[in-house]
Amino acid sequence: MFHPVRGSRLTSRRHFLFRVRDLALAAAVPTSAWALSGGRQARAFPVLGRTNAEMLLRMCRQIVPLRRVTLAPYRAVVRALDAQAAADGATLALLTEGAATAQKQLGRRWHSLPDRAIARYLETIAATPFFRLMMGTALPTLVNDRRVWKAVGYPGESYTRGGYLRRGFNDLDWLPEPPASVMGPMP
Amino acid sequence: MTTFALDDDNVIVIIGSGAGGGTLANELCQRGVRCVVLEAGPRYNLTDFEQDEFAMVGKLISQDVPEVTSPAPLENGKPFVCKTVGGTTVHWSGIALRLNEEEMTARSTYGEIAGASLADWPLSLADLTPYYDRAEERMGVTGTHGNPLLPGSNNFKVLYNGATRIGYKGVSTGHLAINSRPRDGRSACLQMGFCLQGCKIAAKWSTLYTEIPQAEATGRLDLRPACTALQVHHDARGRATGVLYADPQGIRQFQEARIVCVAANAVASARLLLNSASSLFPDGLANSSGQVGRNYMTHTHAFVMARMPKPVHAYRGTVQAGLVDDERRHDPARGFAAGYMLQMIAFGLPFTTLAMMPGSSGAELGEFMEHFTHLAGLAVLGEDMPLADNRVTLSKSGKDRHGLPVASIHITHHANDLALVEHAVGRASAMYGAVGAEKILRQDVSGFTHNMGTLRMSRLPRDGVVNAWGQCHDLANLFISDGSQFSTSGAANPTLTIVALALRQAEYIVGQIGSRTL
Repeated sequence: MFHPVRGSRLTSRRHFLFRVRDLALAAAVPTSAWALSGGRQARAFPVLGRTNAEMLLRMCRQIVPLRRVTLAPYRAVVRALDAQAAADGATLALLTEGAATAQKQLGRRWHSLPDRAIARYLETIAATPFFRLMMGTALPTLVNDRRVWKAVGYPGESYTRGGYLRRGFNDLDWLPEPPASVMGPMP
Repeated sequence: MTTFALDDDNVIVIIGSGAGGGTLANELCQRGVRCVVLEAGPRYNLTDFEQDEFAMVGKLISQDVPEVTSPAPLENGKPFVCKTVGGTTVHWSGIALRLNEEEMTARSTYGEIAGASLADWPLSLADLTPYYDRAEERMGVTGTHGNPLLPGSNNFKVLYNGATRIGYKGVSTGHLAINSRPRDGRSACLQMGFCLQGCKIAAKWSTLYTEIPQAEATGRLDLRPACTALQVHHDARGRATGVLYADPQGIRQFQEARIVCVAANAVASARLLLNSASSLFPDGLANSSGQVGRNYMTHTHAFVMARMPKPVHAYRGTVQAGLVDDERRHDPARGFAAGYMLQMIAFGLPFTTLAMMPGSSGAELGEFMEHFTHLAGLAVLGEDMPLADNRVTLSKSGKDRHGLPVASIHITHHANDLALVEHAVGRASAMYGAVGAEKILRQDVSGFTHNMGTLRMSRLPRDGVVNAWGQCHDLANLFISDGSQFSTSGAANPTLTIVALALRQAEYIVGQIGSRTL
């Protein structure tokens, strides 16, 4: 039997669209600060610093856990957080305190803890402003990241390839074909 | 480019260039009437449209933030409308449906419903039918006037099989103002997806590249983009004299007018009249009834998505070409009044995730995103009960950059709306279950690109703001030309009705000018 998973009434589409409007800005944070070589990570997160950045990175991977996505899109989330922290002292305080509390709660060997331990910890802080800030940056950044699109099979724009009219818009073959009377011919 | 003088008091000033304003302007220009259209947003070309959901929010969507005083978070939304030449016809999904007889006689058909302010429309479906015909012809609506239906996408195949397996019969790719073959100098639909980001090939009807250029070709349209209407002024006899607006540089200008038509979308149109209060109209222009801003309706709305066992790739193809209309009827045995439709829908990854999983995190969210290619989905669209206190007023504290009060919105949902959504989500879940869905997801929504009813039509002046032609009861030369006029919401997407009403209004205005009544 099917039981619809009840969406929270707190999160209507009106909320969603308003959030998109707000959060699109978060996702648009420039990413040029990131130097790819590992030895320059401190410079990549000039405000948060390397240790905090690593802690936030681990958390981001459990807030939106995508198995086929590499570290790079998650690093982009932390860079966006770093940029927000650079622009706003309260955000910086929230992030550094959140990272410090996590390090304290998870213990000195948090680096080697399994993912599920991080996920369990996140569940205990889900109602905090720190978590909401992380979530509010991680989700819009990741859903707008082309590397995430590739990993989950979303190709993005189709205009330059002529749409899907000749490229599979109706290629589903595991259900019976509807009769011609309820749909039109190919143009 | 045609330009009319600010002191030319023989022009018609139309505020807004969307389904109502854009169509009205073209129809008047074609009939020899000179029009000035004030559009608050910029004018885009097809090359400005990006198939990128986030990017187009910034380009198209009005950033005017009204104050919201509603008591519950569900109602704590903001209108999501376009501020651009073409208005929300740039963003709409193209669904073009008529109201039906029951919906236009809601008060008589449904009877008294406690707490609701139901009304019958002051015009009949028969009155509107010839204009629906003309609207469908000019917009090229599929499944009408010889236009073929659109072909069925993968998402439609899931919808069709699910719906028919639970006994529904009214299933098709539906009536959309999207070219199913080349016509009107525009391309046929290429099944690109991204209908809501502005159709890059103009296969979807929008006033931006149909009505407005046609009107400009007559030499009788002076279109002024990036011009924000601030107030409608009137003389001592209570006739509208023109419109005060901010030009693209923010400088105040006054355009004189013979007739003023307001089509700024329901929240902004009501706000404009309230902001135009005067000693003669102390509660707001055209508001002797006290009805300006009341009965704000948005449609009762929810998303249902199903995770299917095999790939669907629902993002491929026309976004909303799939319709189930079996439940669009008044049948109190279901436990609520009025009806609803189930309308296929799909977005790209960004909007799908943010729409269906807002506020969620962890394994459930990750799993959802990883199954993106296996999702099928639909939107519930139901009639919304009008409530007198669901209304637009003026904020007591918030001001816009021109120094005028912003809109303040208050909405609660009637119990009938909630019962309707429960029924609809149950039926949608059964549909997808019948074709093997592994998981059903639901997200309650308050539709709010469909903004209706803040300046509603009534036979008697005490019950509403405008008559059956959209003409204000209080000022003969002030018209309302958008969804604000709707007496009730019906279960049909509002655009086709807005266009039909604009065509009918244009004919009436031309007649009134001809007989020198206006």
